[in-house]
Amino acid sequence: MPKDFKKKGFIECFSEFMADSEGLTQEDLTEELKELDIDLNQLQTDIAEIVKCGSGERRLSWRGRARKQIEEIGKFFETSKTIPTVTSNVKDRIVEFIGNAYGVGALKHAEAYFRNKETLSDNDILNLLEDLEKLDSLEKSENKEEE
Amino acid sequence: MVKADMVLELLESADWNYIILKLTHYAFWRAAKYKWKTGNPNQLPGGITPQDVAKNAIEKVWSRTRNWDPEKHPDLLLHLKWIVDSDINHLAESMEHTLSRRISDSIGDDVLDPIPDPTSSLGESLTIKTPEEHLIEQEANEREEKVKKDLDALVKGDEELELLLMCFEEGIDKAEMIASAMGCDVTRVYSLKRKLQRKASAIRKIMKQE
Repeated sequence: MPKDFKKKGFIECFSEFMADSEGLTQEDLTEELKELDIDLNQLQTDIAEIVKCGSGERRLSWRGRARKQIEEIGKFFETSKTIPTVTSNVKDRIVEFIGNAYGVGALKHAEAYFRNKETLSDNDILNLLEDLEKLDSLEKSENKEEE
Repeated sequence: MVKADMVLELLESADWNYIILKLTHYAFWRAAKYKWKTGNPNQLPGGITPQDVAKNAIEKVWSRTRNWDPEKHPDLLLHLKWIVDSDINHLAESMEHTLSRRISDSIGDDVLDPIPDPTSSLGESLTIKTPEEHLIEQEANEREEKVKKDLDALVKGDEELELLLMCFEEGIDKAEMIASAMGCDVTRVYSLKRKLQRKASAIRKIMKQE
């Protein structure tokens, strides 16, 4: 043991031991908190609200990031967002952007997506990005399983 | 982006009803460690309660104020407990600073030369404590002795609980290590914890030092 090792104090140990809920059932905890006059229904309602708001904000935040990527892609468009009038050079640059952001595997999906589209709206690009996100996520979890 | 989805999925699938029970329980007992100016560990500075601290910890994880990285810290409850500890410590430290400011005001600045620590050797030149630090330490030591004495009296006659308190005196607080020290199974240690839980009302009075 190092010379300057400081032993934990009695109150510190006691408080840590009692604070650890390991070995206590949900009923034990409920009983204890009721004795402390805590309104458990209100507490759980408050937490449900925090979770609901937090979840909503995180999802919106994803959409915000996707929109930023759309703006990046938008820089490649000239005046029109209609695929037939968009030069193949612009389409290639979008595909290159997607390849850089999501990897080579996503390129085939993006190319197939463009092939089937006569026009391309912001929503279309958003849906494409959502698909690419899911593909990317699936690939990475498959790679992890193989390891 | 992918990691954010994974974190969101993990957070959404967590059992928050159970987590808040465990975390509130944790916050109450961690707050009981300190002697608060309110005199009540259920009433922290600023009118905050331990359940508020528990709720705020959960909010901080969701709002990313205290971001959770499951790859580095897979145990979400442990991460939340760290936040609770940090927030309670912060409240306690701000209270101590208020106390030392009060002492400085009453003593006056000309008597604030630090008192050398007689237990330190000549080579350890950095252990000089101020009068406020001495006072705070002295009060903490007195409280420690009083709480120990009162808890001993509470469990007197129950050999296993007396042994349990001796483990705390030795700086042992983890259930597995206590089991090893007491020569019993860890499930026995959990039974002793439940036994102490049933005395929680008396224990809280002792911790409040009423």
